[in-house]
Amino acid sequence: MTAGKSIKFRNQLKLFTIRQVIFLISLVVLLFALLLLGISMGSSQLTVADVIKSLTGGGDPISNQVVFQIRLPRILAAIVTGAALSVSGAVIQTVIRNPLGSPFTLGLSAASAFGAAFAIVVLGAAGAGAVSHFEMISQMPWLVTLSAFLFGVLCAFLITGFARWRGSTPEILVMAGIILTSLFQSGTSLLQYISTDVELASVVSWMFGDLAKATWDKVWIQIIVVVPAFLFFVYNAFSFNALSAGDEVARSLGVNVDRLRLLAVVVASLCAAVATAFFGIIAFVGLVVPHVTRWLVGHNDRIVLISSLFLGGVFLLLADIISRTVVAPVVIPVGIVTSFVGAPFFLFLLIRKVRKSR
Amino acid sequence: MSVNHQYYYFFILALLLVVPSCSLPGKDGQGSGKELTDMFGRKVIIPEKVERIAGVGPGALRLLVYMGLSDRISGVEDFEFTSGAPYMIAQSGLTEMPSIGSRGGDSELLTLNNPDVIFMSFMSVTDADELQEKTGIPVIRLQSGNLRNARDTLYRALSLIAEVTGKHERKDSLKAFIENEIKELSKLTNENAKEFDAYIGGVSYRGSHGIASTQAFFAPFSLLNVSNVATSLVEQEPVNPTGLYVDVEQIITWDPDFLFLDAAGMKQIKPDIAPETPLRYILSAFSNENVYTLMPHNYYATNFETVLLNSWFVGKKMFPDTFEEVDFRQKAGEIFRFMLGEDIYEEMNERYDGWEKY
Repeated sequence: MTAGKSIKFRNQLKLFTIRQVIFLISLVVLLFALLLLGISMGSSQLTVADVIKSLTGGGDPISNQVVFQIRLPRILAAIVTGAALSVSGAVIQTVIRNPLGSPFTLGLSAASAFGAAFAIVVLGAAGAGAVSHFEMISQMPWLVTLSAFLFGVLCAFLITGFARWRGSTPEILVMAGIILTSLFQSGTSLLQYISTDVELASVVSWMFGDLAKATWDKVWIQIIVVVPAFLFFVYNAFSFNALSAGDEVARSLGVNVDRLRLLAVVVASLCAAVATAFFGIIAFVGLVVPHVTRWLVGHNDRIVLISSLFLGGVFLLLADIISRTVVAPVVIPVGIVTSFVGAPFFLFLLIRKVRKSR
Repeated sequence: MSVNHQYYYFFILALLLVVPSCSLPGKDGQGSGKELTDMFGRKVIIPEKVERIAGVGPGALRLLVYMGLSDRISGVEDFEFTSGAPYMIAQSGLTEMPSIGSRGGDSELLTLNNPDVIFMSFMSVTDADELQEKTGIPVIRLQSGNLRNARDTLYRALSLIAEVTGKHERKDSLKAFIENEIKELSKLTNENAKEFDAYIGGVSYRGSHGIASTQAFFAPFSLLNVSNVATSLVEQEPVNPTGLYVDVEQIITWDPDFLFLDAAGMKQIKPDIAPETPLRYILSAFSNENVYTLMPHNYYATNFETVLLNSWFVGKKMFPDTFEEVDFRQKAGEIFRFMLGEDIYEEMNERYDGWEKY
């Protein structure tokens, strides 16, 4: 029995790389298929022929506008955001050695939401007031995005500051995350309480997480942030592997554990903060995708990171397509769909895992 | 470079990368035509001839209806089909219009609907820039102000609409009408105004609430110079209707001479003032039979015609002598007909229990 198991295990090891390669190729193919599907769907009911005409340069102005200014940025934003959140999730789960880790565990979503609410309610970015104390900046473009981003970054700094002060152990990071989450949530509640109905509606709709806000500028900025971050993670994948075996093991292998952990938290938070500032809170992607990836490709961090990148893109793009079609022409914010689809799926994974371990 | 500081440098570098790109300006108008500046200083190029228009965001469509532009409206936000707002009741043809998405508009549906100009209210500069970029249609941002302390803002919005659509005469007559109503109201009330005080309960603000939700600056009271007992709670008069939740005991302490109730919140108010409740026992407004209901006027920004009518109603009930000559039913017909193009008094009464003795 034991011998059989060990042979099976060895075979699995051998097959692993082939399996991983096949998995990655199929993910890329799936991504392209979804990209084509996504671009031919939308509330304006353009036909597939219209879309193809536009893509090949022969469409009418209206179809061109829809395809190039509305659908393409949205789809690319879905892919990049899904990738950014998933990779950040994978890294954070590793460095805090907590399966419930995600960019949002560290208080990031709460901080960004507070930032957005602050810009809308206090700085008057909803355009609601004729008289505002901050009239000069209330009409600044990107004010809400910038404020959400800065508070996300502030949160990352607080977490790292706390960790440097008290030691960057997983427990301290998680606890600091919980503390900051509740602090920022209460701040947001206060702002909601004192807001006008129009401001409240803006805050709530910001928090839903909606890819309809995608524009080319946002896609490019995200790419500029995510690509170097991803390369940094992949470069450090070996150290992450060591880290998941425990701090002592990692140290004995020459990894500067504290520094790596903090750096990883900051870079991952940065990726997630940009995505969140642009599109609001898109829950569950950063949590579920890394788990699914590990379940499918094993625990080697380098392959987990690469697979998370693609699977995250696929997952969020799929969620976006669902959000646009399930009650078309009404579009549901994608953040609602990811939670709705993600939660039962996660439960299913959990049940499977529990059964297996019995 | 110290190892410990390395990640801060990385972080600052990333920040520098992101922040400048965040201030990329949005596109300013498209195509040829005349240039105008909207209420937030955005320069927009609009076509010489504007035949089809759309309004998105709270209050935009209402202003277009006031300006007598219903026949040029190309589509409406989908919740308006069932909103029951006075302007939708009066201009029932608007319910036959195609949908341009949910609140705030859907960029694809707007592109396809292809109005010449989109008027947008209560949303951020970024929202306007992005919608313009996505649809390729000029987006003009409006603010609707209020009748208390921001009438100039309202008139500037009307002027801007007139500038785009050529409806200058209508703008002038609308402004004259509103000013005249307000002048008449204050003429009839001035001397006796401070004799009694009043409280407005159950103001529909973010939906309907119980009697404890009020407004420190309630437009009908302000227009009549009536003392609002809740005014003392707020230092500075806000531009937007800001709700306030007071302690029920506070209402007893104030013991206002007149109690007005927002008809939209009656379901929530009724348990608070049912027979045998302390409020019913103690408040002298009940024993003196000075409790009345008003029509809701805050929904998706403010219905100005209803504010005026509520003011006339309050005046008539609080100062029956000076308002003796005023026939409220006739006044309602006059205001509805002038501002919305149709007398909808009966329809409003069918829908809400406003303008009644409680």
